[in-house]
Amino acid sequence: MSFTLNQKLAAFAFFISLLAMITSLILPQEAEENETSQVDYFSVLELAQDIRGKENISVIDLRPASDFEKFNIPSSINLTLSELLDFETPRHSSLILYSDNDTQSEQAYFMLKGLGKTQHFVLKGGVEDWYDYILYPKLPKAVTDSNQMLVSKIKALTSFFGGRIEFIDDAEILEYYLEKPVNNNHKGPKKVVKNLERMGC
Amino acid sequence: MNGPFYINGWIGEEVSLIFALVIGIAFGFFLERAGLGSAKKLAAQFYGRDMTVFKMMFTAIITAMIGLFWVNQFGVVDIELIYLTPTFVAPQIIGGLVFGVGFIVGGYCPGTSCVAGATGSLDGWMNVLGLLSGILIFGELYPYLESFYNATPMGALTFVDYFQLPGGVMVFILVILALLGFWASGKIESRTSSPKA
Repeated sequence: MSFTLNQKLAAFAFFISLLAMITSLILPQEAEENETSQVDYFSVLELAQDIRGKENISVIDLRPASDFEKFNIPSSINLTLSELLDFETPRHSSLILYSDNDTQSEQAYFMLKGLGKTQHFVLKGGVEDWYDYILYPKLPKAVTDSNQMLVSKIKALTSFFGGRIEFIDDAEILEYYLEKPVNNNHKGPKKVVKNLERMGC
Repeated sequence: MNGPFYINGWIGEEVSLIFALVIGIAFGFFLERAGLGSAKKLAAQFYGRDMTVFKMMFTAIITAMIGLFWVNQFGVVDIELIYLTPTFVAPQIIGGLVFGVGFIVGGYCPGTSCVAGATGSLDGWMNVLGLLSGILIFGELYPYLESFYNATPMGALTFVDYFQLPGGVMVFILVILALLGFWASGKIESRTSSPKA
C-alpha cells in the first residue's frame, strides 16, 4: 500500500502536532508568562507631571531629526533606534520612548527589553497625544466635583508647557484622562492592558 | 542568538529590510508556483471548483504554527515577542466582507495581484492600482472612519488566550481541523467538477 506525498505530509503534520499536544500537557507552560509581551505605558499626563516635577526620567524622541527640530516634548533627546541601543541610561533613571505612533515606540521598547533593560516605557499616543491633551487640550465647561482636581491639574500643566485650553460643551472629553490604558510598574500595582495599536500587514 | 532577531537587536533596521525583501520574493515566487497568480484559479475558490486557495492558506497557517510552536519550545524564538495584529471584531468583519467582494470581483487578493502584475498580467496591475487608490481613499476618509476603525477592540488575542488551552492542544486541534478541511475540500472539488467532466 503506497501513500501520496500529500498523505505522507498530512501524517507528518498529525504526528508532530500530536507530539506538540503531549509536550504541552506534560510540560505545562507557566500560564502567567504572557506578561512578557506587554508593553509598559506612560500616559502623557504622567509624563507632563514628571517633567514638571523634574523627576529622574530621560525622554527619548524616536522621530526623524527634521520632525524633532520642528516640534518636540521639552527635555527630550532625539535618537535613532540604533543610537538608542547604545544609549547609556543615567543611573536610576527611566526611559520614556515616544514617536508619532505607538508602533515604533513599542518596537524600540521590545528591542530594549531584548537587551535585558527594564526601566523603560512607551508614551501612549506619542507626540500627537502630547499635543492634543497637554498642549492644546479640550476641557469641558462644566466640571463635576470629582473631576475638579484633574481639570486643575491639566490647566496647570498646559500653562506650564505654554499651551492653550479650549473649553467645549462635552463632559465626555475627560474620559481620555480618566481611562488608564497605562500599565506601568513604577508606581502602584501593575495593570495589564493589551496593546491596541495597529501595524500593517 | 535567538529570535525575533530584530526585536532582540541581533540585526538592525537595514538588515531587517533585506530579510523582508528576501522573504517577500520567496513568498511571491511560491504564490506564483502554487498557481495563485491566476485570477481564474482564485475565483474558482469561491465557486467551490478549486480549493487551492483554502488548502494553500491553511497549509501555510499550520506549517507556521507547528514550526513556531517547536522553535519556541526549544527556546530559539520567543513567541511572546512576536507582533500580533490586535482584534477589532466589528471593523474586521466589515473589512473581511469588503475584502471578499474585492477579491471575487477583481479576481485577486493584494499579494496575488502583485504576483500577477509581476508575471505581466494587466488584470494584476489594475488590482494593484485599485489597491493603492483604496489605501489613499481610506487614508483621506480616516477622520470619519476612525471611531469605527477602533470599535470593539479585543487586544492582541490568540485562540490559546481565548480558550485558555495549552498551546500544544490548540496546535493539535487546528491541525485536525485542517486535515479534515483538506479531506472535505477534495470531496467538494470532485463533486463540483465531475458533472461537467
